[in-house]
Amino acid sequence: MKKSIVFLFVLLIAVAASAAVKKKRFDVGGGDTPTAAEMVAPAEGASAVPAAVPKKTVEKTRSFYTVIAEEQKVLREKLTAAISAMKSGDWGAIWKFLLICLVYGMLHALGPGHGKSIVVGYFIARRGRWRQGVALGAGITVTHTMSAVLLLLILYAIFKATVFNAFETGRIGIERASYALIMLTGVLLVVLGIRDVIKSRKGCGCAARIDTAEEAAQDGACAESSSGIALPPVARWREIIGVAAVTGIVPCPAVALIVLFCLLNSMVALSLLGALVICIGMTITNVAFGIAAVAFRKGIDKGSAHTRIATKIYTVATLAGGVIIFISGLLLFTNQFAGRV
Amino acid sequence: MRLSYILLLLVGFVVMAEAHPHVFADVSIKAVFSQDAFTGVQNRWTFDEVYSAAMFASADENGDGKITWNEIDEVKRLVLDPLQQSGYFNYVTVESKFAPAQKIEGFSVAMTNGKLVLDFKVAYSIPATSEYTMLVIVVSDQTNYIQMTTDMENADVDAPDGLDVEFFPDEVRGLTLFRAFRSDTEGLFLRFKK
Repeated sequence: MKKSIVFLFVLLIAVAASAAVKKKRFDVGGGDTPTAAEMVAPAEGASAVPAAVPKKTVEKTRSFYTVIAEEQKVLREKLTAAISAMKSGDWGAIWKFLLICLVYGMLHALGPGHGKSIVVGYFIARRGRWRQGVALGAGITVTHTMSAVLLLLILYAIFKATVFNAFETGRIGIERASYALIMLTGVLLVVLGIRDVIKSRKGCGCAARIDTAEEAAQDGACAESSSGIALPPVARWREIIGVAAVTGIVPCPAVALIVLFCLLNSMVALSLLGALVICIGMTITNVAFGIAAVAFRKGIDKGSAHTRIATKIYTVATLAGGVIIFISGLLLFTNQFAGRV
Repeated sequence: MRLSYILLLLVGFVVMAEAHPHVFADVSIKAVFSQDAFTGVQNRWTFDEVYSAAMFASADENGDGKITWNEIDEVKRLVLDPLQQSGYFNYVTVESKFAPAQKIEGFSVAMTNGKLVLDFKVAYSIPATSEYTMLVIVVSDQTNYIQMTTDMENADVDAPDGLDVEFFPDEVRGLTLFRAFRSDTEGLFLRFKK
């Protein structure tokens, strides 16, 4: 009896050892892929069962994007836990909820696609003031989040719980229109930049001293520094409002989803409060970029003011700003079709 | 010189202008073989609670709080059908090109701890020969709308005895076909023969 069991056991090991599926590192053609310890033998000729862990020669890397995305995932889980706690009567969780909303908003805006490159591009094309940097950064995020809340609430009134599909349909349409308009904005800035260059070469007669240059340039005309160097125009408020509207009009699905989650849990006031705090968090991030962009442009102007190629630097910066905005719009537009095979 | 540095910085910044995740999904996969071919990738997608609640509410037409048989098709229509052009985010390369996903098989839906769990197989047909055929499988949303965390370390293979299959997980960085993917994207490398 014992001999039969041993024989059966040996037979099973033999079958397993010759099994077809192996977790094994093999050469994929690059030549430098090492072979490693095998993971042997699927049970019943099917799924592989690891017997030894193959050593990886390369440490796993996580891109900045992935780190931000994974952190948002963790925050979203904590957010739903806080909402569930409040639903079950633990209203002490509201502070946790608000803090998570704030940090979530800040991190969410740090990810690509929230208009930071548009803000930077604009203030490279235009000399801005600090308050204009704040206004553009805030304008984009407030429009981005509030358009989501508004669209969701309107559609919720019509479709009730089945709203999200309709929201997505609307969002995709608005998204495409917005990205096309961003590209157009970039083209317009480049065209205006070229027009200014031509004007300054012809000598448009709007010479202003550097201390009054900003005022002189308020109407979009070019200005000159005290050294006779043509300065590019200062950012105009109506342009800032336009750029904020065009960029921010795409409703934020993250905000919409969280608002909807609260609505589905019959927490209307909490949904609006959450959206507001997420908006504040996103605004903090975008305003920081707006201020940095204004500082960057001021740095370019100041650093090159006394060089012989100052005018060229101003011109290149102005055109580069428009190009950045155009490329941003183009990348966002084409990204919608990414991954199609 | 200074200007060129500035422009370089700006170009780098613009390249970052892509979409960002609004939905999160944990993904596990299994490569499935028949006696003489690679037949598909068995997928399990577990969505985050926020998105799950939204999709569940959209699909639960009779409002009974459950996904009934006739509502399963609605989930598929809402979640998977829009992804058809992207091969349901399953990317399988064979002989330096992407193999086209054929169809979805065995679609099922469950709600587990408030999370929407989708099980389905993306069908392919890549025959086995006497020589090794190499595949790389990646599951990823290139639009970055869904942040898909694919557990490649625990990816599995289901193959009959008559087929010789070797596999390992690794990053796809450096592979030409995946150059548009994020640098830390992981794939399952397989080779198989009769």
